[in-house]
Amino acid sequence: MDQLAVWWEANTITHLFFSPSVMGEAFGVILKALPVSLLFGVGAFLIGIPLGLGLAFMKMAKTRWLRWPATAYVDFVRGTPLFLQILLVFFGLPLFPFYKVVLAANPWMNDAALFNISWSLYFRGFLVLSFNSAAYLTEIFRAGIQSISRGQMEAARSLGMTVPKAMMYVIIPQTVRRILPTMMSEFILLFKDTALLAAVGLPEIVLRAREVAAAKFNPSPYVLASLFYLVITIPLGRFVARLEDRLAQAEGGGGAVAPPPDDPLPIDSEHEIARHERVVDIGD
Amino acid sequence: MSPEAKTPTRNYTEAQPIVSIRDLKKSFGDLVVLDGVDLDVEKGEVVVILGPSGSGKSTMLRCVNRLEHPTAGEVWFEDTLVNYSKTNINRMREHIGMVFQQFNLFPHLTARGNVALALRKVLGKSKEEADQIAVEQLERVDLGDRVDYYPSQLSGGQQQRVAIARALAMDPHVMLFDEVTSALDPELVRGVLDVMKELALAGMTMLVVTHEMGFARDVGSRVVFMDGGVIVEQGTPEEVFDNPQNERTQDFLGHIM
Ligand SMILES: Nc1ncnc2c1ncn2[C@@H]1O[C@H](COP(=O)(O)OP(=O)(O)OP(=O)(O)O)[C@@H](O)[C@H]1O
Ligand SMILES: [Mg+2]
Repeated sequence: MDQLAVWWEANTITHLFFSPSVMGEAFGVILKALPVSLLFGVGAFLIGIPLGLGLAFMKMAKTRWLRWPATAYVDFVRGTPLFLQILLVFFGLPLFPFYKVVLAANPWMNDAALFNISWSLYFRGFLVLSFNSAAYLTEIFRAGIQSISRGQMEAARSLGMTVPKAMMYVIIPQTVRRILPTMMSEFILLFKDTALLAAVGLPEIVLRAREVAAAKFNPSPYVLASLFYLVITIPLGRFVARLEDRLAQAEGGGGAVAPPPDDPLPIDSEHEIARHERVVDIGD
Repeated sequence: MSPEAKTPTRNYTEAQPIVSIRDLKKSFGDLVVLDGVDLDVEKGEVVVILGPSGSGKSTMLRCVNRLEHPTAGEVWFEDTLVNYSKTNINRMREHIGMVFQQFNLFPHLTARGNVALALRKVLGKSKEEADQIAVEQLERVDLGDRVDYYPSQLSGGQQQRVAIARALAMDPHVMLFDEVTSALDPELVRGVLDVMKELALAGMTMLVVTHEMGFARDVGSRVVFMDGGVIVEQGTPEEVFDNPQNERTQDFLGHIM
């Protein structure tokens, strides 16, 4: 046993990446950072959901004055690295005159809050992550809403429901069930992306791991940090896969007779694309 | 004065047609689908609409509750102009039931939930009251033992009867049926037609687009034949089926029978 320990620390690979002593020291530090990563991941995701839903409705709107800004925003966010967005927000925002005024009027924003992180760091962290995931969620919501057949909206409207009511009680509940797996995959991505906040000094898992690694001149904490991510992402991923199976079965009918396929959408030469895109646009 | 007061209205008594369509036109882009349709539907009448595919039957029906916006012309329902921008279309639709070829049941709700949803969210009834009405309506279409089933657990014929119950629960003054048996396996058609026949006997005003000639002859008070976006011929079932005047009607019936 002792021999194994000696050999373990002497061997380059095991010593560098799996050093028990370094990992032991890093464990407590990283464990304390786990809630920070989870907080930013879960929090930003929850804020991103209504934002993404709003953007999705903007993208499906009749007027281009809503469609275009939403499209531009989503294209920008999805087309540029999150790291770049983080740098923009973290170093750009404080230079805004408006932000300076707000900060000057509210000096407490620089006070340390939960986990010894200042309010202004929380604000910028949630801002950039939630707006980032909102852009991805926009496309998920839009595709989900449009995957609900036109007939659902027509049936709801023919019963006298307004568009918002039809959305709320008929379209959205079906959409949510259908996109839940995709949304959870998106959450996994976002959770992993919280690591990028290390670059701007937010004490989440990777930053803490790096501190220990630097102090010990040994990268084992990084390996340990990966395990912390995997403990969250692997079970979630499995859960998503199971959910997908279950929903696929439910859609298939489960009962005696599967519902008939929907009528193919009628094609209107002039508004062809628009019609296919907008489930909301019926009658008025 | 309420905002609805601005809507053009006409004097309406039950002695008058409950639905009046005047010179109705509808185009999709360059495609003219309805080219001047005139039709009056009296209260209690069952008007069966026949015609070849693409003749504009569905489009006309959908103009009645404004699922399609007419390009020109007028659609009157009771005392109100349907195709007028200030008309409270949601209020109108409460009184115009519609049943679709593809059922369009809400798959996330049970049969009872499907029927109860609009009762609660549109008419503002309590959950208890809505559920009670839903069960009554489902019993009326012979589905009293299926109230807790989801649409995916029901046969096509059962689903379509739920859809009829859902529309009936709103206590509509007119019912629109758009080829409601066309998506059904032949052995399931009967049950749906029986429900519709009972409804007609109970005095419901109905506009029925169908290819079921037996139903048209048996239940229809009037048969309307459409082709090329216009009404080509209309009359009692006997007149239209046994002695069609128009060549296109003869042609169509010759192919079908
Ligand atoms: N939303 C739409 N956009 C473009 N064209 C449409 C649309 N709806 C219907 N049409 C066209 O209008 C014409 C008439 O359609 P409609 O559905 O009213 O015919 P129909 O008489 O009901 O035919 P069927 O018996 O096949 O149901 C068809 O050529 C159809 O392609
Ligand atoms: Mg049709």
